[in-house]
Amino acid sequence: MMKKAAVLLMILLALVSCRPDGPAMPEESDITTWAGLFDAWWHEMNRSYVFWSLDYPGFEWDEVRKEMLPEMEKLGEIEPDYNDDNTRKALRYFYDIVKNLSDGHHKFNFSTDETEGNEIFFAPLAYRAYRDYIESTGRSFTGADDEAFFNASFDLEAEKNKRYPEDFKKYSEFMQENTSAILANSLGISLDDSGTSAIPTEDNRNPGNVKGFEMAGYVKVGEGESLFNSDVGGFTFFVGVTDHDILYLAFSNFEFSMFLEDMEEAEGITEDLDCVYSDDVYSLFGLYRKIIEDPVGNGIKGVVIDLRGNGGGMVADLPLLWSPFFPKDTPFAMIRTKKSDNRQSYTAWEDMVMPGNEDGTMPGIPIAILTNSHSVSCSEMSVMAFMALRDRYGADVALIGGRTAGGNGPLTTINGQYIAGTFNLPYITEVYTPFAQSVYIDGTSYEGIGIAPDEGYGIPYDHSAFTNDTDARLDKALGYIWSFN
Amino acid sequence: MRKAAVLLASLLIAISSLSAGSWQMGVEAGYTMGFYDQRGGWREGRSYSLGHAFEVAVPVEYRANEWLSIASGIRYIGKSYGMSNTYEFQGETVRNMDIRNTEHFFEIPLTFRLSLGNGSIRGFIGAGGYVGVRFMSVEKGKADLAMTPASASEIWRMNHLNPETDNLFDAGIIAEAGLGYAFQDAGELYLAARYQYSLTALDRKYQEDPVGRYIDTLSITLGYSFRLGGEA
Repeated sequence: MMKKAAVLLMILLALVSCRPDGPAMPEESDITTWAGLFDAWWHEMNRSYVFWSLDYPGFEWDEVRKEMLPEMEKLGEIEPDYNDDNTRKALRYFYDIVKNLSDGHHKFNFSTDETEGNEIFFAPLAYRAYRDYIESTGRSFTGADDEAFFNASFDLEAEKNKRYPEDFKKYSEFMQENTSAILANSLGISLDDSGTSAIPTEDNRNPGNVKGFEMAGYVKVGEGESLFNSDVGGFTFFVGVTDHDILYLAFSNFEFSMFLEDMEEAEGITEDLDCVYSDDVYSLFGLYRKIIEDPVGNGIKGVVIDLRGNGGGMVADLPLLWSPFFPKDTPFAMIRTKKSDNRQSYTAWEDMVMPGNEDGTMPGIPIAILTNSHSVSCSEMSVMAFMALRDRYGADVALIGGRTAGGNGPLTTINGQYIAGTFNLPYITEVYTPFAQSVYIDGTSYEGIGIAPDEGYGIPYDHSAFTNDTDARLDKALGYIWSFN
Repeated sequence: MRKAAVLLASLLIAISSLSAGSWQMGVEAGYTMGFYDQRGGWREGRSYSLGHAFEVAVPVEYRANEWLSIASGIRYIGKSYGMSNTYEFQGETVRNMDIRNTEHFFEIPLTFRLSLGNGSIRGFIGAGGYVGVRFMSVEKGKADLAMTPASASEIWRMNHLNPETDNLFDAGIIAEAGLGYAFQDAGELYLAARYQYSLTALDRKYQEDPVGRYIDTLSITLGYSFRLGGEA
């Protein structure tokens, strides 16, 4: 009897130990070879990357490891020198994988040492934009173009975010069509590094004398300004009402909430502001809100929201800007994050909701949204919100211009907030990637694809025309509004 | 699952035909505690806690004689666990995630029981195994993602089960004990405790180096069974 009980117990104990241990992650100090670094990065991507249902959905990510690990092993110890052949080869392997990821925010940052300015990066969004630019010139994208894009990453003399082939930097929509350029080319406002019009008042509604507007104000924050540890230098914001009563709003990033918080903390005392421009941003934003909360009462016939070149920013800005358009709390997207380190282990989809306004009304005027290939993140969230306004309430909304970037996931820089998201390793100084995946409320994913303009409202970018005061996309948006009046 | 049920029924019928025992059948329900076990993927702010759910069963028992019986039946069981996350921000600890996950299963258990009793009061211990199928996964609570309203934490959210990545099959081993009171020929009221140890992970092995995730349960149930036929 005792012997039988002991045998049974041993069988039970054997079964109990049938839970294998989890993956063995190498100590960071042990990562000295390219193979070691690749393996650590492959494992970190397993747990930190959220787009596995889009990228390698057939679980081919395991094949990537099987294929690349032996190649990395041939490259031996890491030599921290961009001119070293094996270093270039290894980085080329990383580049060839990263460039095809769907993640529109993704940035693979690498540095051979901690010297300022030594960091390089690969970003799939910029790669896709470069491909689109080449094809827009009428020729096919070739291996030589691919090589040129890779090699440009190593131009350490250039500003970090501009290490691209020269023609792409000078002539592409992605690099050239942004708020500052729109103000200069389309509205005749040259701001250089910074500048502010006087804030419009009842007595002087267009102090900057912007042509074509009966009311206008703008601000461009100087370089080097920061708020709450975030760089807000270069933030550009324009709000105006045209001579034909169309409200036009253009801004470079979603950073209003930081300026408003600065004003709130300073309790309006200018000397206590952390950024000298917060007062102007606050005043202009207040003007925008005053108009949009009663557009009909303010004689507004339509709204043009210009998100071209808008790189996104604070999610908190979305309700501040758009709630006045929404008659009630409106789900416009769905979001999920990782539940465990396993690649396709996710939380349930949750609705992202745009809070409605207090009046329970819609402005009831046509809305034109202008976008291009650099309209990303909060810009695309905004587009989705207005798509929901149209789909759910029948609002007159048109998406005009160019296809958006396809970068819809939110990000955080705070350690430990979520399983997924940004991470770093030795030499790989940062893999910048969202902690969650979002899709439009009907389940459509635009990650890596972008949201196309409405049929009949797609206008190809013409750099020559744009820089010679012809903004066909803005004209189309204004024409859309006029068609209702 | 269907094949397992047919096989089990055939087995029980075969056993009963060889012995002069009796059949019992009844209803059983109770409270289930869930214990989440994850192998790997530890991180500082992430913690897992006891889950609470319930189970309902139609137990079937063949009593071969006064001290040996085989128990089976069909059971719905909820296996639940809590998951939370905290992080440090500007000197404060922030709790940004507090989710209760419940996985829902139909199971067929099979245990061999040894009983001792004086006719009215019977105690038993048993051991065996179970097979089951997961048919639903839900979660509720705060995940604190972008633009998700606070009210969302009060709603159960369905987590779509993907047969390619989620393991819908569950199997494990059982240890149980109970105490029953027999109402002469009318049946038996009993209280039982049962521990289930899962041998199958929640995720399928679709990747290299996965993190193993399991839910074990401890149930306290109350049941009533009545004799269907055979000798007492």
